Amino acid sequence: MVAIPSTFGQLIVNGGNFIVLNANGQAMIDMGGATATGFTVRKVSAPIADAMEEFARYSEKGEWEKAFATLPSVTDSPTSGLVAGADGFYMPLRTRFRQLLAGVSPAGREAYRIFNDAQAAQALSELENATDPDSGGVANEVARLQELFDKYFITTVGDRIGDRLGDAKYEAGDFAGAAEVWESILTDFPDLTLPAQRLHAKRAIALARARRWDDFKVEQAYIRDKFPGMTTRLGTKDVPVGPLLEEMATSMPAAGTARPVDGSGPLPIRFPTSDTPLWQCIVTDDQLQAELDRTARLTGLGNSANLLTMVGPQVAADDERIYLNWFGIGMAIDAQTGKMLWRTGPFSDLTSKLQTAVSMGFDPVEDQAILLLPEKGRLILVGPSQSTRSVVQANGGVVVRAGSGQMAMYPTTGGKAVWSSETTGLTTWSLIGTPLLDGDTIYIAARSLVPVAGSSSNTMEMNLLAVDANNGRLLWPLPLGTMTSQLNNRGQAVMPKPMLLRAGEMIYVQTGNSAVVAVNAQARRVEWAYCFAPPAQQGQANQPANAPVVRAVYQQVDPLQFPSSMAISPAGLLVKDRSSATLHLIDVDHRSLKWTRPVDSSSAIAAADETSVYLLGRQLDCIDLGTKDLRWSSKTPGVFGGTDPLVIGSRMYVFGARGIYDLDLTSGQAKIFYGWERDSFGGTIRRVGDKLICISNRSVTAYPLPAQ
Amino acid sequence: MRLSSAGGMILMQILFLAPGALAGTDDMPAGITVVGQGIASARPGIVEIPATVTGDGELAADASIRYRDARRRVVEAIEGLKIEGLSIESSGVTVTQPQDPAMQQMRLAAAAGVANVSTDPVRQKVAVTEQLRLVLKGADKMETQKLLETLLKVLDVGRDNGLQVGAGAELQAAAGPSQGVMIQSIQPSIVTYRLADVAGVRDQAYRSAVEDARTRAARLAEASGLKLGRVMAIREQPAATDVRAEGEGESSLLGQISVRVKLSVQFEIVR
Repeated sequence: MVAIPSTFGQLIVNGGNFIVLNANGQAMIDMGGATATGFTVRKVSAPIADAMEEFARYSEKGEWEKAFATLPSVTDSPTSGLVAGADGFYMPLRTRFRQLLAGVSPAGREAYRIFNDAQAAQALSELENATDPDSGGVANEVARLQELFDKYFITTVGDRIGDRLGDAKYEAGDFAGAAEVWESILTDFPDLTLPAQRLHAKRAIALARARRWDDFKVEQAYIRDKFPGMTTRLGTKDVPVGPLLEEMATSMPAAGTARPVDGSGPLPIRFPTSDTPLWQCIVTDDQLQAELDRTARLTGLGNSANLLTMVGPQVAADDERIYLNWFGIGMAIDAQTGKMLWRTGPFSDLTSKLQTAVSMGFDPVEDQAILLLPEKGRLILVGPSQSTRSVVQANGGVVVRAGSGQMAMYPTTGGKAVWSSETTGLTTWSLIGTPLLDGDTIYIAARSLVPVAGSSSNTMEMNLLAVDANNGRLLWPLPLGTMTSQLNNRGQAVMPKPMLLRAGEMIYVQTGNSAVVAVNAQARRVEWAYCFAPPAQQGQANQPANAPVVRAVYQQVDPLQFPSSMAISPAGLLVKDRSSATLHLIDVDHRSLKWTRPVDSSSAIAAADETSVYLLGRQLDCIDLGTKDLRWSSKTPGVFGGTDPLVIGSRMYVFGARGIYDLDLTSGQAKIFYGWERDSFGGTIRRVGDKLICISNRSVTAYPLPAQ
Repeated sequence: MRLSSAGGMILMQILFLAPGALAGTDDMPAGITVVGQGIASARPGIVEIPATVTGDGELAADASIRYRDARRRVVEAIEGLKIEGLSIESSGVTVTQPQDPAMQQMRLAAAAGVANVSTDPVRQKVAVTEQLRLVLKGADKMETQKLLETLLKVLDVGRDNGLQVGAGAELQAAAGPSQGVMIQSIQPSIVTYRLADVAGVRDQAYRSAVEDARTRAARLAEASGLKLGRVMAIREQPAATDVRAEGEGESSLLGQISVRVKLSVQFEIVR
């Protein structure tokens, strides 16, 4: 076992394991040998781990030649694996490697320079004298500079290499990466030859573009204090830095949540004066509902069967229509008249689709979605595949049924599918969880049904797919790690349900498997991952036979249970897994855990702002992000996991079984509008123009809103 | 308070006196002893709804704040209805550690010999629970339909704000969701109707019972050729018990509430 002091803590290397000790000498995480009961990130391979161990051993002895001889196997490896850090965080190997080098003693640094300065200087000279700076493209330049930076960071010219890398990343749009590089130079480079104030200014600008506002404010204050009146060159002009940063600071974003909210109209909703609706479109009448309930009960799910039919369809809306996706049947309703305009299949198919969905471990909230592209007149439906192409895998004697999700794009005016994932090259992927639409790209988690080139043949590996929304073709896959399936109360293996959240350049993938993976969508790489203890499970489908006793608690089916949820606020990233009783607040800028806190396991993050997070379940709880205190709580009877709230300003509207709650987020004070519909369990609420639209498992109902 | 006359409910329990008993013996009481029954009815003047407000959480501070806010909102909402005669009374607050249904299942599994289960408490919650009574006075002055509408409005508003109503509410509050549903389905009526002046109605019943006893004793005396004298002794006997075991002067049905009394009255025989 070897101990290496470094800037991030004391790194203890023991065999294939890395242990980081904090200042108090407490072990933070042991990444090796632990029984996997949740998501497992892609770790570095054993040869690389061995090489780092050897480096650490030789460094401690001062045998620098031998120590540095181990490094090529690390720096030359194409691995994208992660290395464990503190508190459950995992970092890219190159980040850890650079920190390791930056932490060697002055003698080691000098020795490294003796061995590597010449090569570093030559490489830098070649770059600076290149006749065609754009040869190979920006991506190639970034990759080349990254390689040089990782290898030659502590050489004499390391700061200049890093500065060029930062510039290249900035030009490529990787603002977070650029800011990180300049931070590394300022923090870890011992003999800075470049003007520090210039690096600070560049970092501040990159932080603002990357929307890392906490760090930006710190940097801005530092510049104001240490370098007042500083100017920087932008293009051919010298620009005062202070006013430039002030201007950039005005575009700080508002908090967002992982679930879509309808922010149309700045004013809060005033409830109608009468329960009488403008119109109501019946989606399931009593007879059809009874058939669905009967079908659900026959599936063997017992008391939990009716959960499938309590949840209403997924919803999107524009000024003209309300679009629904229910068990893969899409439909559109005229927002003015309530007439059904079109649907992709008959309602009589609902019972058969329900049966198929149950056999796949389908979740009505997390396994279906609807994405609207209003400017293109298109919408995308995500739901369970009715195809028999599902692949049945055997894993340790437990048969894991590969449930498939599919996507299809339709015109908003109705008609045949423009494309379907079952014909666009996504047929070998099983789509899982909730997708994210960002411009013309759909991001969605998936697992491959066949081995993927460059990846393992592990079919439990979760990937993040980028799909062209115009044609449904795969742009790129990015492996994230290995998930663990879980057993429902039917003894059926079900996949975790990932959720995605976009914030600046980052896409946060909440795996639904006790881990969050941060992906730089621009650079197509995993920036970090955070793994935490999973909630006690009834059992693990792929748990080894000789697994130790675990804290397995029988999971009673709770009809109120909300899905996994995330939210981003200026304070950080908030994460709560489904059925987990812990809320996590992550400092995404510093990749550290701010705090965790016990919360109601059946609740979900409904909203977050600068000071508070709001969790909705049996009650709406307001938790102070600074103190973790519960500030207030407001009961919400009749609200369950299929409810999709609407947040407008400081008010939240929740459509539950008892009616529509209007909750004041500043005090928790609630009002209720009973509405016309009394037979449903509630569902989604939207404001479309001057109408309040309530979508439940039974109907779509529109109420007139009083004039503001 | 409107009274109705007693009568039509008389049981024939007549003590036949042995010869010489009129004069009294060591074994038989002297005089004529009869049992009279009286019934008096009136409309309920008080309506009570038992309810529970609860706050729970893994952190005791969370449980306290949830309870505090739930109670405040319920009280504000109900008082905001401004119903004359409606008040909220408290029976006290308890702090408990509710049984985790999941842990109960695990204990059963472990007892049944299922391997690899742990019965260690994983998550324990604290619950702060207050038993309340929503009391509406002056119900006898309200029309039945109006009274019903008022009660249902109170129930709706209470439930909108998280109040759990009914006699089983405290059990439901501690139970999980599926168990809560089961409890809800077997609990009795959630509203109790009471007489505002039970003593007054009972007085009327007594008078009725005495009158009934006198009538019956007079008949006996006449049939025996005797003359009825003064009352020498009265002893109250238990009245017929209601199968629902409700208290005196209360009912779960909205309607006339009766008070029954049964008196054993001994009359002197005048020679």
